[in-house]
Amino acid sequence: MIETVIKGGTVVDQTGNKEVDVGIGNDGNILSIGPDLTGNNIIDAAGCVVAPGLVDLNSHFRQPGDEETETVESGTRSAILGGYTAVVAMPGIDAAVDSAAAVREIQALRNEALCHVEIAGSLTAGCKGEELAPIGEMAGLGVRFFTDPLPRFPNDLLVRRVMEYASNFDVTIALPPISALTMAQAHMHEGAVSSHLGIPGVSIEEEELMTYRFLKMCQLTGTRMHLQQLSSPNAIELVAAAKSEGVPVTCEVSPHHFSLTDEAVETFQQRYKLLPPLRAKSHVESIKECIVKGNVDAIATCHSPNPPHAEDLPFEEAPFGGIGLETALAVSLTELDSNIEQILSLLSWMPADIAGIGDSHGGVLSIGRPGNIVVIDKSVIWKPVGSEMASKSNNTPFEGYPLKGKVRHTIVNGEVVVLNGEAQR
Amino acid sequence: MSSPQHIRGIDDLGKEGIIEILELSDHFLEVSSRRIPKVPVLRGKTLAWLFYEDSTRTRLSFEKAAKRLSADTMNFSVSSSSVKKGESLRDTVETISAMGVDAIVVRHKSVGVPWMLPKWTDAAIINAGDGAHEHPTQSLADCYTITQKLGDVSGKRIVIVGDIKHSRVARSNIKAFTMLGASVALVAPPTLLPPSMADWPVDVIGDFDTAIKEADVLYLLRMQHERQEEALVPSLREYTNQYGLTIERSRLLQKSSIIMHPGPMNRGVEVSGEVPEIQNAVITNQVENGVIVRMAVLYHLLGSGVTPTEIQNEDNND
Amino acid sequence: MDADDVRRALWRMSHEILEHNHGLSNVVLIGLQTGGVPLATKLADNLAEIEGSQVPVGYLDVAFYRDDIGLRPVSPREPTNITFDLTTKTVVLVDDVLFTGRTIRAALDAITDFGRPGSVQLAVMIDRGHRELPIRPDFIGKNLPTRRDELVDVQADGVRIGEYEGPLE
Repeated sequence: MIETVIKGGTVVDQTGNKEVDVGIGNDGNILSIGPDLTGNNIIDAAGCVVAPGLVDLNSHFRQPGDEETETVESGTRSAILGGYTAVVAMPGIDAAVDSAAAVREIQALRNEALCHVEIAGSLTAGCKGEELAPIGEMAGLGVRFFTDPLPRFPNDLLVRRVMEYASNFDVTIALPPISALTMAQAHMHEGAVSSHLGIPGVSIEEEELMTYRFLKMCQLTGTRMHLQQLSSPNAIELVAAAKSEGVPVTCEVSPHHFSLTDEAVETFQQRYKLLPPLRAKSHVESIKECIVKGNVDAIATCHSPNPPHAEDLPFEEAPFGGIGLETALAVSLTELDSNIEQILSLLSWMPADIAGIGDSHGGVLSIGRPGNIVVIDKSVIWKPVGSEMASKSNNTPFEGYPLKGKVRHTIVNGEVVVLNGEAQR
Repeated sequence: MSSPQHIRGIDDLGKEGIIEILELSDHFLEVSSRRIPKVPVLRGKTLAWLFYEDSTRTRLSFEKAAKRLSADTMNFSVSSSSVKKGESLRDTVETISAMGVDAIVVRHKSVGVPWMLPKWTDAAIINAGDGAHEHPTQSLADCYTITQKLGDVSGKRIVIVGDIKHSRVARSNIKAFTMLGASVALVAPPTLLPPSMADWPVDVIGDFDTAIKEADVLYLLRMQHERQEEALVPSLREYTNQYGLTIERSRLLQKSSIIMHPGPMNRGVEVSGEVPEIQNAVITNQVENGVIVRMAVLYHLLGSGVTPTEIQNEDNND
Repeated sequence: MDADDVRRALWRMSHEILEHNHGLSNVVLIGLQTGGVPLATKLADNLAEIEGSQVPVGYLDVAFYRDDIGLRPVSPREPTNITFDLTTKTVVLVDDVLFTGRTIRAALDAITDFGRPGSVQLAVMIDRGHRELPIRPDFIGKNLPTRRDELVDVQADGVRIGEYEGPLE
C-alpha cells in the first residue's frame, strides 16, 4: 500500500529526468514510480523537481561542546529545510572526534537528528597535528571520513604518515588546503581589498601550494583523498589534472566561493569572514567555469555556526565561518550556469558516493531504495534572513541576497520532514 | 555640503569635506593664538574617549581640542576597566552611550571598529586609528600643515617613506593627498608595501635617492622594531641605510622641501643618528595643527553643519 | 539709501565718534564679520582723515559665541583678526544692521577673551528694530522700520530691503 505520493513533479536523478509520481511505502522505501499514483498522503509537487535528497560533506554542528551555538537537532533541521537528507558532521577544532568514545557519543546524538548524520573522525589527536588519532578503531565503528578541519601539520611528513596509516582501512581522508599556521595571522583574502583595508590576508597561492602537496601525498600513498573547500580555480585545475592521471582524489567547493567576493569584507561583518576567505571577483567567475566544466565533484556548505555575540566582534577578532545548509541549493541554482542535472549531481549523488552512503542517498529514485527525496520549486524568489533560519546561528553570508529556487518538501526515509517549506518536527 | 555624521575615514569627508575642515581650521588657529584660547561652542556636549590601544599623543590632542571648545570629556580607560574583565565592545559602547555622549572618539587595533559602533549608539563616531586602516584626523593635520607651509596640497609631490603596509597614517594620507590633487610616491622595502597596489593612485619608487630629489614633502613613517623580528627587514641598520634620512641623502632634498613625521619618531632609524638637526622639519607644526584640526572636526560634527544657503539666510537675520 | 547717503552717514558717524570720545586716543574699532568689516575700515579711514592718526581696526567673527549654536547650523565666515589687547580701550563695535541684538551680545562675550575694555560702544549703519535683548546703538546711520521677515542689505552703493526667503527662526 502506498503511504505517500509525491505528485505532479519531474523526477531528476542520476539516470535523467521523467515526469512521474513517486510512491513511498510504510517501510519508508520507494514502492512505486509511475504516472497517476494514488495513496493515503498526497504531496503536491506540481511544477517542481523531485530528486534524491541532498548530501552535505561538510557540516559543523558544535555538539557536543557548544550546544548554545548549534546542536545536532537544530543543525539537521537547518539541513532538511535546505533539502538535505544526509550530512557529514565534521569534528570541531575544539571538539575533536579522536576516540571510539567520542564517536559513540555522537552516534547517540543521532536520535535527535532529523536526517541522516554521517560522522567524520579526526585525523590527529585533538586536531593538533601531532599524533595520529585511532583511525582503525573509529573505522571499526563505521566512520568512513576523516579530517582535521583546520590542519595544523607542521610538515609534509605527518601528512604522509596519516595517509599511509589510513590506507589499510576503507576510508577517505578529507582535508582543506589551509594551514592553521598561516591562518593564525590572516583574516581575509590577500589582494586589492585587503591592501586598502590594511587587514592581513592569505594569498590564493598558499592554497594552490597546499593543494599540490596534498595531491602528491595522495599519489604517493594511494589513499583516497577528498579536498575540501577549494577557493582557487588553479587548485581545482590541479585536482582535475591529478584525477586524469588516476590519483584517487575528489574535491568540493562552497556556495559562497562561487557567489561572493572579498569586497563584502568592506562591511566588516563577521558573516563574511570565511575559511578559506572570500576571493576576488575574477576567482569567483573562474570557479563557476570550473564547476560548469565538470572539474568539481561536489558542492559542500561548510556550515559553521557561531555564537550570537560573534557578530559584535571586531573583524580581526571574530571567528571564521558562516552557516550554509539552508541556502546552498538556492545559491547554486541562482549563480551557476548549469542545468539542474549537474547541480543535483554536485549536491546529491556525487557527494553521497564520496561520503560512502551512495546505497541509501543520492543515486537514483528507484523502487526499493529508501525514500530520501527533495522537492524543489525552481521558480520561487526569496531573500535569506539569518534570524529566521532553523540554525541557532544567524551568521549567513547570504543575508538579504536575492535567490531563486527553494525547497518545497523534504522526505527522509519516507517521512515528510519538510512540507511546503515548513519543518514538520 | 551637508555635514557627515561621523568621521571614520577620509571617504566620510570627501574632497569638499576636507577643504571645509581646512577652512574651519583657520578660525580655530586664530582661537588658539588668543590669550584665552577657549570658545564656548561645545558647552553642554560630552565627548568620550575610547582608546583600546595606548595613545597618549592622540588622546591628549583630542582632549586639548575638546577643552578649547568648552566640551565635557570622559575617558574610558580600557586598561583599568571592565574591558579587562571581559566586557565586550558592544556592552562598553552601549554603557557609554547610556550615560549620554555626543561623540565617541575611538581607537582600536582591529580594522573597521569605528564602522561597527553606530549599530550600538547614536553618538557621532570619530576614528582615532583603526588597525592599519585609517587615521583621518592625523591626515587632516598633515594636509593643514602642508597648506600652511607650501600654500596648497594640490600640485605637490609628496614622497612617503617607510612601512606603508602597516600604516593607517599612510592609508588615510594617500587618500587625502591625492583627493586634494597632490601626486604621491611611495618608497619602501617591498616587504613593507601592501601586497596589491594596482589600483592605488601612487608611484612606487624603488630608489630613495631618486625619489627624494622630487619631493616637495618628504613624509617619513614610523618604523616599528617588531618588523625586524617578523623578518620583514634584515636589520634596522640596513633599513636606515636604505630607507632612512642620512646626511648624504638630506643633501639631495630641495631647499624648499619640508619633512614630516606622524610621531613618535625613532631617532637613529627613520632618521640616521648622525643627522644632528633635521632641517625643514615641520613635525612640531603637525602636532600643533593636530589640535587645531581636531577642534575643526569636533565643531564640524557637533557645533555646526551648514549649507551655503543656510549661511545666506542667516546672514541678515541679525 | 543710495551710495551718497551711506557715504554721508559714515562721515557723520565718524564725527560723532570723535565728539563722543573727545578724540581718538583710546579708541579701537572692531568690525563684525562680515558686514561690519568694510564699514569699520571706512570709519577708520574717515577718522584718519579728520584727525590725522590711524585707529587700530580689528575684525571679529562671533559665530563661536552665538546663543543658538548647536540649535541650528552656525558657520564661521572669515577668521577673527584682533592683533591688539583690548584692556582699558574704548572699543567701538561696528556692524551693518542691528536687528535682534543677539549678534552684539555674542560680540560682547567674544571681546572679553581679548582683554577687559574700558568701555564698549556700538555703531551700526541700519537700526531696523525688533530688539530681543536690552541693547541700544550709540551711533546710527539710519533708523529703518522693517517687517520681521524682510531682509536688509547694506553695501557701499546703498541699502536695500528685500524679502527673506528662508525659514524664519
